[in-house]
Amino acid sequence: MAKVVVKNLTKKFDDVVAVNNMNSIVEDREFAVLVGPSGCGKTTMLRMIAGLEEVTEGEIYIGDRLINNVAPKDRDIAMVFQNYALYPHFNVYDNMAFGLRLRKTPKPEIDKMVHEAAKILKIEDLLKRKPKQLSGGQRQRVALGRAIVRNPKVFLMDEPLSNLDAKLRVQMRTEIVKLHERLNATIIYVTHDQTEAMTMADKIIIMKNGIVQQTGKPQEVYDYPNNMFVAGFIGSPAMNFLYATITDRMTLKGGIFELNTTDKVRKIIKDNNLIGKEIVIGIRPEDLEDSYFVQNIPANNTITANVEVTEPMGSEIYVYVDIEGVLVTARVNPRSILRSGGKATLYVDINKIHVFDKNTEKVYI
Amino acid sequence: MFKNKKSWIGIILFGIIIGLILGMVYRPDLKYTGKPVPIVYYFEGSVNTGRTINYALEIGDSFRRKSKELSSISETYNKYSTENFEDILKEKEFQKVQYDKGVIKLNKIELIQLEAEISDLEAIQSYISEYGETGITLKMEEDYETVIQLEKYIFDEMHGYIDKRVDVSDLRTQLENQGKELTALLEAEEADSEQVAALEQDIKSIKAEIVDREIKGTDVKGYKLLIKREEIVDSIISENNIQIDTYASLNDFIFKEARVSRFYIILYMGAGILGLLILIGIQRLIVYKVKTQRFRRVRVWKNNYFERDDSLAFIGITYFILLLFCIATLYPLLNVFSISLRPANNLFSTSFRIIPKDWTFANYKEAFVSNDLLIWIKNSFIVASATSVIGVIFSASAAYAFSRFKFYGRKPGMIVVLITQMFPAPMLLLPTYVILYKMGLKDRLTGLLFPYVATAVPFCIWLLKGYFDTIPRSLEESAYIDGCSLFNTFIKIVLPLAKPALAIAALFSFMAAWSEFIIARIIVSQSDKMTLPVGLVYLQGEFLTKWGVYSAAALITCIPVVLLFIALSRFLVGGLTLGGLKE
Ligand SMILES: Nc1ncnc2c1ncn2[C@@H]1O[C@H](COP(=O)(O)OP(=O)(O)OP(=O)(O)O)[C@@H](O)[C@H]1O
Ligand SMILES: [Mg+2]
Repeated sequence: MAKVVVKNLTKKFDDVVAVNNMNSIVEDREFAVLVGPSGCGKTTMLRMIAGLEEVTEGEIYIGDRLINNVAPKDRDIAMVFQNYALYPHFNVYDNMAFGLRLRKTPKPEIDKMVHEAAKILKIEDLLKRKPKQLSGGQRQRVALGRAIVRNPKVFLMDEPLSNLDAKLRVQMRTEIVKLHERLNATIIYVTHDQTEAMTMADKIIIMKNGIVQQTGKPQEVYDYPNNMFVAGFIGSPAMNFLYATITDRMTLKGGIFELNTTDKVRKIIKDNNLIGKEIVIGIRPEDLEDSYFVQNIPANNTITANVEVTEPMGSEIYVYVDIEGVLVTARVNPRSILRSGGKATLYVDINKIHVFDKNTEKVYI
Repeated sequence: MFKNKKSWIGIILFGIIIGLILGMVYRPDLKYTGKPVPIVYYFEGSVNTGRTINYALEIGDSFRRKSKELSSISETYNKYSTENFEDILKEKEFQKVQYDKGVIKLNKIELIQLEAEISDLEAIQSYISEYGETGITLKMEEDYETVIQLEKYIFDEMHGYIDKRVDVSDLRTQLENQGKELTALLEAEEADSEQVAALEQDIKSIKAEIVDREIKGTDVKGYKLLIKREEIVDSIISENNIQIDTYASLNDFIFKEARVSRFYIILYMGAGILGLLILIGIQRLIVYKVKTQRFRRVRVWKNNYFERDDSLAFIGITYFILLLFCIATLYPLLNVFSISLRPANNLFSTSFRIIPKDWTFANYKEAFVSNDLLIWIKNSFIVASATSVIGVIFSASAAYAFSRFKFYGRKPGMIVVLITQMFPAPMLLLPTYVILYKMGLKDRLTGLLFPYVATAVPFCIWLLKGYFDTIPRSLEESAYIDGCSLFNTFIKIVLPLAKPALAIAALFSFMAAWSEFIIARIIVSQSDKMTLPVGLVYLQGEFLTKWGVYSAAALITCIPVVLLFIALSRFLVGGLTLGGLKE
């Protein structure tokens, strides 16, 4: 009932096109994460849904209602701002109660709802304080609390965790996810942090320069990126890209390596007539392993290169090797003895590699 | 925009040139003393309104001189009343001749006394020859009385004229009567054609008079008033056979003054435009500096009086300069204070004591008891608070619109608001007077509100707009989403957050209205409608000013403003520094 539908949505600030012909559907009770690099139009998008920014072209529906010309207060939404936007002259209680009072909710009910929300967010002790007497994390929770007491159909959150320290951020992430399960509301969550997107989302919408690059479940987007941008943006450490030419023998040949291909890849090479062409190979760090730990390696499934840096993480080691000037990351077995300055022979899991067009950056596989 | 010195100099020159051009090139086709006049003429016109109103008082000065002369004569008369005036006159004239020849020596004061006595004695001689020895005292008293009567007459006449200027009701009733008479005459059918013609002539002239007065009434150009004033005074003087030798020179003086003021107006305008340009320049500079982050951190006086490595000489000089300024500001105040405590009417004193030896509060008591001081305080309070409240309401809503909405004419609008501040206040006197008169608000406190609010609002708009700009918009957006309307957001979110700026705006409007004099002086003439500043001047008597009472009243006048200032100073400091603080 409260699905959010965006049709051919475009927003222009004079000459700047902030959102370009966007089409998206966020289903009822879905946790959708809008992710993309800085300046790609995420905030603009959210503000248009909230009614704070006029739509240049296109349509926005909440439920079945066209809301292009509906005032923000009548859209039944709540928004958590990037800078919290708590009312400095109200205390926490009044901040949370403000929206309810405006809607003429009876006093006892307001009291009940505010305390309930405060309990969920563990800010019961802070109700009497003014926003400036709170820490960043507490303000964050008050901002969330202000949104949830209203019990709206749709929550809009604009990078709500960006001002918090790493630990608190992780903690709040789970809080918000729990909150979502509990509230049964549609949430559109904006972030530029792909980890947040991956961990929280039911659906990820990836944007770049105002254009939607890909929409899908986190794992889907991770495993089957549409293009090099999505492939590079989702996943941490990021996917490695290597230039290669496709030989007559259907191998992928770079300067210092030559990789075999699977049947699936070969079929695509044939279908697209790629023999002799230059392409880009995408390999995720976890698909590279110290060959020492792999048995029965077929020929042409390894790359040997100089180790630049190693970063032991405990459960794994990040090994950075230099392949033709490109710093390639590999996540290898923690017992690996690869050290910087030495040579590493890395096993490539060719079942998992991606192939991209060099010019269009579109994915072949 | 203004990154180097050259462009600054250019801008200053530009401002001066624009000012000069505006001041001199614009020439309305009206003639003033035979020559075309520049725009400043309007200003002179306004000045002359004030003058016209005060003119009777100035004429009164010459009467006063006349009365002094009379009292001097009577003094001389009493001095020599036992002797023969003819002999004494001869003796004195002989002394004068001897002095002229250099036989006897006299110092300057003695000489003046001698000359005065001679002229007095001559006057007495002529009195005696006309009225005889016995009638002289009586006659002199009579003369004195006449002088005072005449002064009052002229004063009333002037006010009457100004009040009558735009009021043609008397003429209209006259016209009506004449019309009735005429129709009656015509209906009677025995109409004497001569009589009818005379009546028609009458009606014509009355109509012309009405048109003339109405034109003058709507004509805000002061020189007509100036001419009319001359006419009135001339007629009074000739009617009453008064010899006022000062009159001609006084008039010359006024004209000369007007011509001088023209020069100052050009300067004013130039300076105003220059000021505007500098303001814009400073604003640009600040924006530029903020953008490029070229601001060095400024030390706040609260935390650091001086830097650690400041030399003693530097600190000493700093204190010395501060001390100088303190003395310059405090000395006049202390002076007023000690005058108010002196028992007699002593404006000057050789003593440097701040609290005089025989200090007393009698002046304060008298200020309250024998004057309308309480009423003036009440009036001032009503006008100032109303100005403050209305001004803040108007300017807050205007400033919010300027700060938040995009509309055509937003930037020019802000500039225009600023430009209204450029004009010297007296320039607007005449139009203000005429407008308020026509609205029937003369001698009403409500009448004062209009010009006061109008002058307070522009400054407040700028002040508040600057403050509103610093309030993050997301607060309002948040309120919209929470369910606020635009108006609700303004009332519940923006205004409470802008309290410091609102306080400053209120304080500013209050103080401006509290201490305004010129407009109040023109609009209000009844004692029970006066505001404090006008009342204070009213305390300066025509013949004698009780300086002690005056000072006491002056101090009482400033107390509420000082208290208000102290009460709001916390906002003032906060408000002035607020641009820099966020959250
Ligand atoms: N009010 C505005 N006027 C003009 N251009 C704007 C305005 N607001 C945003 N833009 C432009 O629109 C584009 C998208 O901005 P937006 O704020 O939506 O980015 P974002 O994805 O939220 O970035 P971030 O992650 O840094 O918050 C940017 O290029 C920005 O410069
Ligand atoms: Mg943003």
